[in-house]
Amino acid sequence: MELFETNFTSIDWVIVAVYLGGSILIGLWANRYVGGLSDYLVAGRTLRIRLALATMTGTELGLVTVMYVAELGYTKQFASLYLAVIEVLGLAVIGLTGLVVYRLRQEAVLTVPEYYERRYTQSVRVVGAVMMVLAGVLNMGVFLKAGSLFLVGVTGLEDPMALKLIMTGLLLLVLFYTVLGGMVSVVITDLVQFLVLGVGSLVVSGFVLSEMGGIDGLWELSGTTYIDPLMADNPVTEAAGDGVGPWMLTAQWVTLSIAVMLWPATVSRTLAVKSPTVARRLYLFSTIPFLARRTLPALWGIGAFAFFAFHADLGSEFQDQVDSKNLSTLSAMPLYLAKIIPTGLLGIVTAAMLAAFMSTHDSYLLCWSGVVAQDIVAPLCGGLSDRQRVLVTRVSIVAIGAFLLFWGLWYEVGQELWDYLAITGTVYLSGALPVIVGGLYWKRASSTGALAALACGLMGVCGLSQVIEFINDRLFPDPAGFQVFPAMMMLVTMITPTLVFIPVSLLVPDRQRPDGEQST
Amino acid sequence: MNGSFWQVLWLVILGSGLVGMAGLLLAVGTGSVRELRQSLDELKSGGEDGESSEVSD
Repeated sequence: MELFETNFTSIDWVIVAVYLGGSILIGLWANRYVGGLSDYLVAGRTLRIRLALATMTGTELGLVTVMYVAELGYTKQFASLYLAVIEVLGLAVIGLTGLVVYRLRQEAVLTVPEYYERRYTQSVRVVGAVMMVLAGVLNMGVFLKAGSLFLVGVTGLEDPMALKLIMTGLLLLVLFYTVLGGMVSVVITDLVQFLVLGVGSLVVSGFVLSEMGGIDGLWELSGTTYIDPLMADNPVTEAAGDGVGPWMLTAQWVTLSIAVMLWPATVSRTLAVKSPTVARRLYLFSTIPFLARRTLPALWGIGAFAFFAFHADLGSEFQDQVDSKNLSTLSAMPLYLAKIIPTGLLGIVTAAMLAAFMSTHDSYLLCWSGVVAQDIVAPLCGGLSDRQRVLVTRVSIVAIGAFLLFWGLWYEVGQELWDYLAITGTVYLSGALPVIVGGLYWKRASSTGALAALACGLMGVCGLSQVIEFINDRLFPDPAGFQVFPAMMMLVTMITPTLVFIPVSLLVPDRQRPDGEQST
Repeated sequence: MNGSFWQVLWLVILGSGLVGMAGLLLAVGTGSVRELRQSLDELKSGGEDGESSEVSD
C-alpha cells in the first residue's frame, strides 16, 4: 500500500458533480422568495426550531471543523476531546439561562454592530463592524486551504493547478447561490447539506470503528495513547510541552465559552429565528450537533493515528513528509479515509464533506458581507435604501470571495489549524465580549469604553506564533528564564479589553444616552 | 486522575456524539423539511408577520 493510494474513482467524481449541480438549482429556485432586505439577510426571521437547528448544524459542522478536529484527534488522540466538553457545557449554560442571546434577539437587530449603535453610538458600530469583518475574513482565510488538503488526500490529485481550479470552482459555486438567494438559499442548501453530512459522518464513523476493532479496539487504544489533557506533555510524541496542560486548557475554556455565545455566524442564526425563546432553545438543542462536530471527526483522527501506527512503513513515510513540510498533520485523516472507505461510498462521503465546506462558506460569506453593507457602508454613506443594501451585500460577497481565493490558496498556516482559528477569532471576541455583555447588562457601559475595548481586540494577533517568537527574542531572550507562550498570550489578549472597558466606562461615561433605553 | 476515569469519559463522549448525531437526524430531519415549507410560505406572504407570536413545534 502506498501513502497516496485511494479508492476514489471516476464514479465518485460523478456523484460529487451531481450533488454540486443540485446546489446550483437550489440557488436559482430560492431567489424567487427574496423580497426585501430582511428576507435576504435573516430569511424574514421565519425560522423555527428544527429548521434553525438543522441549518446551524450545517453551518457549524463545516469541512474546516472536520479537518481541525481530526487533526487534533491525530496529534493529541483522546485528550483532544476536552474541547467537546468545554463547548457543550458552554452551550448548555447559555441554553438554560438565555445568557446574552435572549436579550440580543429581543433587540430585533439584523447584525451585532447594529446593536452597538442602538446601545452606544454610530462610531462604535462602524469600528465594531470593521474589527468583526477583519477577524472573520482572516479566520475564514484558511478554510479553502483546509478544503483543498481534504480533496488532495481523498482523491489522490497531486497536480497543484487542477486542485486550485477545483477549489476556485467550488468557491464560485457558493458565491453564485449565496449572492442570488441570500439567507433563503443558505437555509435551503444548509438543510440539504445537514442531511447529507449527517448520514455521511455516521457512515464514516462506522467504517472507522470497524477498522479499529469496534468498541474493544477503541478501549484498548485509549489505554496506550494520550488521554489526560491536564498533562502538558504528550506521552506519544516524547516532545516536551507538546500536549494540552492546565494553561492551554484554561485559555481554550475562556475562548471557546465566549465563542459559542458571540461568534457572529452563530449569532446571525440566532437573530434569524422566530423569537427570543426559540433563540435560547436553539442553544440548548445545539449541544447535540456541537458534540457531534467535536467528537466524530476526532474519532476519524484517532483512527488515522492508529492506522499509521499499525502500518509503520506508511506512518514513517507520512511523518517524513510532515517533517519536510510537504504535508501537514491535517492530511492524516483524508489519506486514511481514502484507504478504508470503498469506491462509490467515498464519492458520497466526499460530497458530504464538500457540502460541509459550502454550508460554512455560504453562511460566513453572508454574515460578513451583511455587516459590510449594514454596518460600515450604510452608516458611512448616511444611509442606503434596502435595494442598495442588498446590492452592496452582493458586491461584498464577491469581494470577500476574491480575497479568500487569494489568501486561502497561497497563505501557509504555520501552526495547528485550530490555534490559528482561535487566535484570529480572539481579535473579534475579546473586544466584543465587554461591549455586548456590558451593553446588555451594565447601565454604566459607555461608548468610549466600548471603542477602547474594540481597539484592544487587535492585541489578539499577539497570540500568533510569529509574534510570540518576536516578543521572546526582544524581551525575554533567555530560554531558561521567563518566556511568553501561546496559551498565556491567548488569555492575556482575551481578558485585556474587558479590563480596559470597565475603568474607561467609569472614567468617561456617556453624557447623553442615545435613546434612553439602555438600562437593563 | 486515574487513567480509567479518562478512558471511560472519552468513550462515553464519543458514544454520545454518535448517538446524538443519529438521534438528531431522526428527530430534526423530517420536521425541518416541514418547517422549511412553512417558512417559504410565510416569505411568500410577507416575512416577519409572525415574529411576536410564540412558535409551536
